[in-house]
Amino acid sequence: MTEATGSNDYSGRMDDVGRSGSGMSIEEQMGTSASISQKSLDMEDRPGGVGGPIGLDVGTSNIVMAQNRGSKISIAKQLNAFFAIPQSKFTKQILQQNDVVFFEHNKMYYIIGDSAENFANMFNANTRRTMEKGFLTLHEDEGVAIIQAIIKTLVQRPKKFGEVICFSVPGEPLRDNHGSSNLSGHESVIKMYLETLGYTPIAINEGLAVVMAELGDENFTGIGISMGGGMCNICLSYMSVPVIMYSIQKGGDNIDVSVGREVGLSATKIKGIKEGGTDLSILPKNKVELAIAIYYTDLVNHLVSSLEQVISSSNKIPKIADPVPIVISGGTASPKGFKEKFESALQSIRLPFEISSVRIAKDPLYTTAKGSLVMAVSEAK
Amino acid sequence: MPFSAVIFSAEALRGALISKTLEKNGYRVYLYNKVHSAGDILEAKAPQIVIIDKEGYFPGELESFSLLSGILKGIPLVIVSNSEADDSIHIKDISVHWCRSNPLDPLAIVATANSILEASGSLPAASDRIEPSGKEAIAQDLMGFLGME
Repeated sequence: MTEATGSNDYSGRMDDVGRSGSGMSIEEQMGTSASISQKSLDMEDRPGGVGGPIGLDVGTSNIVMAQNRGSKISIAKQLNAFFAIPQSKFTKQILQQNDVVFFEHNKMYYIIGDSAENFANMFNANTRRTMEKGFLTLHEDEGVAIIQAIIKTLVQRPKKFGEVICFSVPGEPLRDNHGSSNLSGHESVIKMYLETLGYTPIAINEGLAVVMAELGDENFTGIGISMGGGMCNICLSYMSVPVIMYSIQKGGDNIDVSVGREVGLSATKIKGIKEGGTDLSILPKNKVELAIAIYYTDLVNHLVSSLEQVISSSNKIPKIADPVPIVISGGTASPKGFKEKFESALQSIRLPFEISSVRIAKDPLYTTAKGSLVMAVSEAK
Repeated sequence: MPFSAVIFSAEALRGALISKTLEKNGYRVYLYNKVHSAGDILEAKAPQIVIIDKEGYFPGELESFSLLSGILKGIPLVIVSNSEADDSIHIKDISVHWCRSNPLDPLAIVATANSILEASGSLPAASDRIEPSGKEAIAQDLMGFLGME
């Protein structure tokens, strides 16, 4: 299996998107009635662009694409967020001059991807999301069009029609009231869009993607956990067979919102502080750090107790003789000291099998995309 | 050349767990959930061993195997069940090996299949088998995972 290489090889973000500023019709790009200002290059036009299977992590916070390029895995990432500002000729000029990815709709400019966060911080406001708690949100009229535009900045039409693309989907959320989620609707929308691009889309559970990316040496047996912005996805896999898959609708966003509410800052600002170097292994130095530590503990405890609840009550689990590893990925699992906090919480629960180790994935932000790529490659064979 | 096994399992998850584990242990596996065309399947695949996961099948479905004594002649049959052996599957002149497995123990099923094939002389005894080296094992794992020959 190929290895992801250093940060210099992570292409993508806005660098992978062409910028003609031509006002190309978005109907051509997305089949909607808006218009987009940046022209995405076709795959053959992209520098070093190649065909082949693709792994796509469709997360609440980020959308990440992984593809084999020779002996390396190329990764491209885009923030799954947008920021709307009123239209004006001057604004348009500024946006184009600064290579900002946006599209026009209903007399508004929708700034999408990583640029949206810069704008939100500039206005001390929050970015808006196309997804909430792991699923496409029903609160945003333009959500579907925007997520398609963001995906389009990362995934171009395939060189060969019908190329396999594996995209991540969440597990069914654990609910106290047994309500149903919109998992199938969410999956269908992404699937249909990828089909219109010319791919053969296959959904893969996000937790299973973590297992596929990280637990090859353990025969794909173990627990994969993806801790994203909107939710945590958990999968117990036995030899690559997903035995248990579920999600909890709590993630990094909950920490941002809760801390922001406590200290009077925007959630986007808190996200920046949190990702700027949170260390959960040392005593907090100020009220923001204290609030972050408290809400992290709450999230970890909630996750670990859900593991006990779901696994202990399941009658589907096969006999597992050897201790199994837990691997955790996602931006929310990135802070220093997170692993120790998780291990400590794990001591308080009982499971029907032993845990051999807890580890953080090698590239926590890209694990799901890489696991989806592993699946896409095997499906393409 | 790998041994081939045909598995009948009504429950997708149990079937997948058994088949993946057998594959991992060198078997070529054909997994089916419907039993009404079992005869055609067995004739077409001519497996070295047949595994029926009894859980999830209706009694009437299991009875359909009793008509297959001609096809199953000479092919070992393993019945996987959560409970003790019973007479829900009776096939004339065919010896049935029961594998009680609750919770499902895919490795125990593989061990049962191996011991039956060893006893029949089809599979070398475990002590006589040459285990692949670390590098070969990784290559085999990868090839198995990618579904390569």
